[in-house]
Amino acid sequence: MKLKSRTSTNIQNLILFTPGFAIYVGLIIFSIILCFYYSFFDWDGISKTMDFIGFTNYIRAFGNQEFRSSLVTTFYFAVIGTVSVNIIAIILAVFLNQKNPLTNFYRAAFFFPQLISLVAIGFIFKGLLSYIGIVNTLLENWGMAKVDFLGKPENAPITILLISIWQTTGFATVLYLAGLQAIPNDLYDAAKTDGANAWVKFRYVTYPWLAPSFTAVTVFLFTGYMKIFDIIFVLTAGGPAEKTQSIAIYIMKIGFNQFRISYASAVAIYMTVLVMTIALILTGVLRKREELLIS
Amino acid sequence: MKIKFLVLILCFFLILPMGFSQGQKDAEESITLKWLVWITPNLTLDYWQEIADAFESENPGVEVELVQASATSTANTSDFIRNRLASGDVPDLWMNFQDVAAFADAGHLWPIPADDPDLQQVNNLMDQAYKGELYSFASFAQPQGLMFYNKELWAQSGLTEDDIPYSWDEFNAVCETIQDAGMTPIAIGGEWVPLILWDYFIGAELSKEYPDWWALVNSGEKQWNDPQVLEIVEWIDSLVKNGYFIEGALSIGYAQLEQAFLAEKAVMYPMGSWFTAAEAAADKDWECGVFSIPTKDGRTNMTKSGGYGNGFVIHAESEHPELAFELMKMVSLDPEYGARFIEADGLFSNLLPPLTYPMSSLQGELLELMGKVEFARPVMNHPLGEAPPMGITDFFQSNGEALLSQSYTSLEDLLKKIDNFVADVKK
Repeated sequence: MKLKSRTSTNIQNLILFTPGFAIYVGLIIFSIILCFYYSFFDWDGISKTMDFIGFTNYIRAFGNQEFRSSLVTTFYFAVIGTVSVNIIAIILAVFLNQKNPLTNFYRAAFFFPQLISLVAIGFIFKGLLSYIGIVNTLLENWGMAKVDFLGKPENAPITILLISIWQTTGFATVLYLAGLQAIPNDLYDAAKTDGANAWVKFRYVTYPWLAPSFTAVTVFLFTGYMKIFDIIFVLTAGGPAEKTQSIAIYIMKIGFNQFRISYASAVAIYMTVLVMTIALILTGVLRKREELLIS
Repeated sequence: MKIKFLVLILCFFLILPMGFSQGQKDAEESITLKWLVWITPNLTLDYWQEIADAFESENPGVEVELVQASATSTANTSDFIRNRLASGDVPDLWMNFQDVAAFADAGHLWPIPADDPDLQQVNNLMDQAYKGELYSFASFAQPQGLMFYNKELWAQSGLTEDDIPYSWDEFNAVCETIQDAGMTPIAIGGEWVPLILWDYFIGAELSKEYPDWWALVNSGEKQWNDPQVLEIVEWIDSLVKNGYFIEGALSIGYAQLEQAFLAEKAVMYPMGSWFTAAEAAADKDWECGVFSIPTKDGRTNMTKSGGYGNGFVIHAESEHPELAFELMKMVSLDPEYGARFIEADGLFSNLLPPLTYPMSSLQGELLELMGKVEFARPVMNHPLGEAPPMGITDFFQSNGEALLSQSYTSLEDLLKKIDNFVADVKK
């Protein structure tokens, strides 16, 4: 009877597991293998023949100034975006964890941007922030100077960063909120008995207990920002003068505009390895931090 | 019980797609022709749908499926098609296509029958042949490198028809006069528009002297980092430095830019002849004029596309190339639909006798201007067999943005960047 039950559980698991695994292998693993294969050839994506050139595409990428500047831009978004979203999301989560009649409304409002596609968000903000768009028209009507949000090289990266922070914060807030709600009330009661003020409670109870959420959010955000594409593509397409060109935009440009599929594949493989390595290091470091904080 | 239920669900999801595929097979008994159409403010989806409907009614049993592309989401047709080739879902008929040489060499284009009786009305038909085969034909001419101007604002700033500039010096003086009158001289925008600084402004000067510029670059005889090119770029840079271009240009999209000019936000607007169609349809109370982008010595030189035919080509692996060819002819040669196409996009017929449409006063003025100027190829245009490397437009665009935003280390660097790319691709 027990054996039959175990067999049926295994079959159930297999049925549930297989579709997801097949999609994962077919769409992700297979693509990465194909990309790795193409990276050793010279191929434009339309010719019927490919020339084997070994590691030339990798060597070419490291020597390319545009590749290096795209990498710097990507890290700019990843580091500032991850830090900013974490700070804002923790503050919002603590605020939303209070008992208040409007709490549910605020939760929905903060999470709402996460439900809109990045492409739609891009088009909405493009209309709002254009030099002759709604925001600048209002500024002009109020007698204020117009701002070139997306057209000036010094403004465009900040504008994109702010929009992406606005879009991502809701999701991070929900994760932190879940973490906050898992903290036993006894700990707060004990801290209260010891005479702890709000800051001390946050520093010695809330903050350490949020460590698992912090790990999840940080790894999720950092790896997400390293792949940032949609919002940049719609808002600036990497411009002006390549100042918002992330690695993903660069890959798209060399692969699909310049028809250098093999070179783009090499850059994509490089990025995959880089992002995987960073994600593993981040996870390892943050897991250790969790253990230290909670112990 | 649970297992049976799950197996049932799995079977349902496996059988469902098969059922759909059977349904598709039934539908496939009628012929489906996939047509890549380029959606623009002039060539709307409704416009293409009307032509598709007309073709379907003339060809019972044929269904035309429109595959939409637009400059907002896709850099160009080659980019769009390359992705489709990778996915295996390639439209039968493509439009706005320029990379004939590369795609023909790769075996992706269907050679159209050059001896087709309907094609004999195309002026200089075989000019578009590549390695002896015809893949597209020039049913229209599209003048580019044009400077449209608002005649009312022109007069308000104290300028007359005699002040129409031909040389750089005259153009600089016009810009200064307009600026002194408190108006913005030139409307320019972001998205793909910065390209025109290179294609029109540089093209007007460069292609005059070197009509086969790309052949010279490809053979190594000429480079972009050349004193002559640098002089042109320095001139454009001086226009930016003097504040002659509209403020916040790079965050104004193409569609917004057109509206900005129509709403009198600037006196002049560099664009191609397709603007004449938008101007004709616009609700405005001022008259628009046109002149060629000035050159250094004042010799009029208008760039005109058409080096790659009318942009319609047929996929080599189309199951119905003959039918796609009929659709191609309908949209470009048919007295009704061909004329509507050139009217919708402000084009001029290249047929003998030419297709005509009721022209606006601006279109009439442009036609008259075309009779007075010399024509040259735009720098970006691809003379067959002398093509620039694919993706060169990225560099023109980002260099245009660098000029407009004044974010460059030196002008020589901008030019070297193009040379480096050309050399890198050659490797």
